Amino acid sequence: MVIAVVAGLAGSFVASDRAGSTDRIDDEVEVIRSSRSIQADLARADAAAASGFLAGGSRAEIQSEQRERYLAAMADVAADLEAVARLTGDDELSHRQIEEMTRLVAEYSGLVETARTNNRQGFPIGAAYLNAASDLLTRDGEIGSLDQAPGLAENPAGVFRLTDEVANAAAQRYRDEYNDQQSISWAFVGLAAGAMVVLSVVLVGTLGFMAARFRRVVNPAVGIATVISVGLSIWMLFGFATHSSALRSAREDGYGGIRSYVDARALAFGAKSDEAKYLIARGDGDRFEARFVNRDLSGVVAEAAGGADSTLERDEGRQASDMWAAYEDLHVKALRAEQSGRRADALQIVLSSSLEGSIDEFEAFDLASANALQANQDQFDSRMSAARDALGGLTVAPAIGALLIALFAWYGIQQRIAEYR
Amino acid sequence: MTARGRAGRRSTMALLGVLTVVSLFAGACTASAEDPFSSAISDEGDDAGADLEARDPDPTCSRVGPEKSVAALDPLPSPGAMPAGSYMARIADRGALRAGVSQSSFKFAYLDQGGEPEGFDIDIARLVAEAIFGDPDRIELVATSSPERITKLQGDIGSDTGGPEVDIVVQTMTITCGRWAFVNFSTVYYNAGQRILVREGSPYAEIEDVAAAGVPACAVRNSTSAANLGAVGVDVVEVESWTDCLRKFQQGELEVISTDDTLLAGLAAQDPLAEVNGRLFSEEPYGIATPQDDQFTGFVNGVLEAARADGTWQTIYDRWLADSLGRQTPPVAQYR
Repeated sequence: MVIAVVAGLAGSFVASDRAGSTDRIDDEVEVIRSSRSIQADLARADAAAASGFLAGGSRAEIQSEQRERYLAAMADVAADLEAVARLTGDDELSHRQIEEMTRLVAEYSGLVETARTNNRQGFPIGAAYLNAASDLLTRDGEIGSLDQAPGLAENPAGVFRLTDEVANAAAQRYRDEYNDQQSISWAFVGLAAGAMVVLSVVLVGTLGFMAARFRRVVNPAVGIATVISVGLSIWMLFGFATHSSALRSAREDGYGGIRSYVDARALAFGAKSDEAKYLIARGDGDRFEARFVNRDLSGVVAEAAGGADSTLERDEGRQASDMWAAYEDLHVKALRAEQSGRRADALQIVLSSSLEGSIDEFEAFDLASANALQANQDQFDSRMSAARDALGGLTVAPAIGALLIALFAWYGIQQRIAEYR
Repeated sequence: MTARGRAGRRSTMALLGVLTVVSLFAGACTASAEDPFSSAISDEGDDAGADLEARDPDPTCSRVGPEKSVAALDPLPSPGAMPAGSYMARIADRGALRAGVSQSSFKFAYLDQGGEPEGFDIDIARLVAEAIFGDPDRIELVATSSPERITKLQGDIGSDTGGPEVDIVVQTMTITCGRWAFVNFSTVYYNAGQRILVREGSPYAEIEDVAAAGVPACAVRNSTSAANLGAVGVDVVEVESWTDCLRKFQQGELEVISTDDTLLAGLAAQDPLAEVNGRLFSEEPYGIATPQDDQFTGFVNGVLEAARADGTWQTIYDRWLADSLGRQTPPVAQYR
């Protein structure tokens, strides 16, 4: 009976500990995803701001279209920032960094507006404000410590660096949580399940002993206790094993894919932004093209696509790779046009979605990579909910089961003893 | 490989040699502040195999000085009646003057909102087109980077295919004897030089005031302007582009920007609270570069002579630069 109580309580404790931990894992992954999304959404906003700037007043339609994209992306950034702040538990350094990000994002949008106003007046200084705005996102720098707020460093880090920090801290917490689950709780699982197995053996032994000794085929109460005990043992072993493997699969299949696609998308929008800035710089923008090339997007996209582990993911990944290749061909065409003095042609390619325009190709990549990201996110979500389902009932069932086992066993044995007297 | 192929290869190599030397020159002589590519050019020069003899400046130029050009054609042929066999006649036959210009020098040569180039240099280039055709719009404006300013003028002017890519270059180009070795220059059409840009009502009237106050000035990294500032004892805040200087100036991060007045004019035009102050403390005489055809250069000089005399130069200056740089008169032409 003592074994029954210990096993039941241990089982319930482990299950509820694991359920809480599973929720925390879900939160941490959401922090990672959201802070990576801040990066991707800001890069998307920046690409739209640069394209709108490049379109200028003479292409009013494209300008206002890009403006809408910019505003939509900035709204997403605000939502991401809110989510990260809400889900980051009591990590004080992360909260400081999130505050600094929020401040930088406000400063960023101020600089973009100044760039826009200058551009509308035909002042080339608009480009300097645009570049300064982007620099707030991409600059390397010190991330600060608890003793010093990030923004107060002499050479403070940009938003992307800070999102990396927040995401990395969440990833570390995720890893810790995951490893805890995979190691320490297994000891508890072993204890609980082991106790259940021992209990089952004892009960079966008791049944056998009583059958032989008192020539009763089955003592009904002890029989019920035995069935409950065996059932609970199987359920616990099966449930914890399923939970563990679902978590592993969420980490290996879903989480990895989410990270690589969010990163690839941030890089791709950055490249699009550099393309516009190269043209804005009018012959003085080699550093932007160098950065475009250095991003090695085809490699990054191919790598993300290579991590696919389902037909859907494979298809979406291949689609994203193809679309990027098509876009890059047009990028090279635009570059050649600009370099050989055919600026109007270059602008036509970069800003137009009509024949020979690259906007369609880039949007197709945007869509395909977003779909691939979603496929990975869905996979992660379904693995996490499988993990949660596996624990369903196990948080209370072992305790109740143990109580029932104890009651039935006690009743059955008492009955025999009474008969014997 | 055929003999013809070898010859072709050899002439290509020779051309490459010339271009290498040209870029060396560009690096050695022209790392001037108006030139956003100056550092890139010097890098190119350092890497290229040097043919030091070809770096000798033009001997006539060395003797008489870079600002003296060939005599102006007098009288100037009437538009549409270019002398037979002249380079002007070749341009007339082609139907348009090809002019190498910048696209990124605000107020000198800059694409307006509609994407059309405009500015002081553009209007000067149009004068030459008008003199040949009677129509300033018979012009093809070819976007040219600073290193290309000399290379695009190279080639046999008598050849139909291998000739120069452009007929003139009007692109804030300082006249030097090193460049005279590869191209001809017109008489000076603008006397540029380094000055300071400050906030209206600033106590800094001259560069010496800036040095005395110990205030840093902004300049583009590795530019001649930055070097000149160092030479007069002014600390330099170095940035990537001149508009970055203006941004920092507008955001209150610094009080002084210093480079060629032509660039400062472009910056001042974007900020109603900024003004160009002080005298020139370096000299950068700008000329129109042409292929080495003295008759054609003389023709261009005749066009400039007329523009100085009839007030056209003044009109163009007043239109683009007077607001930022104050009243100026055309530079006096000097001839060899």
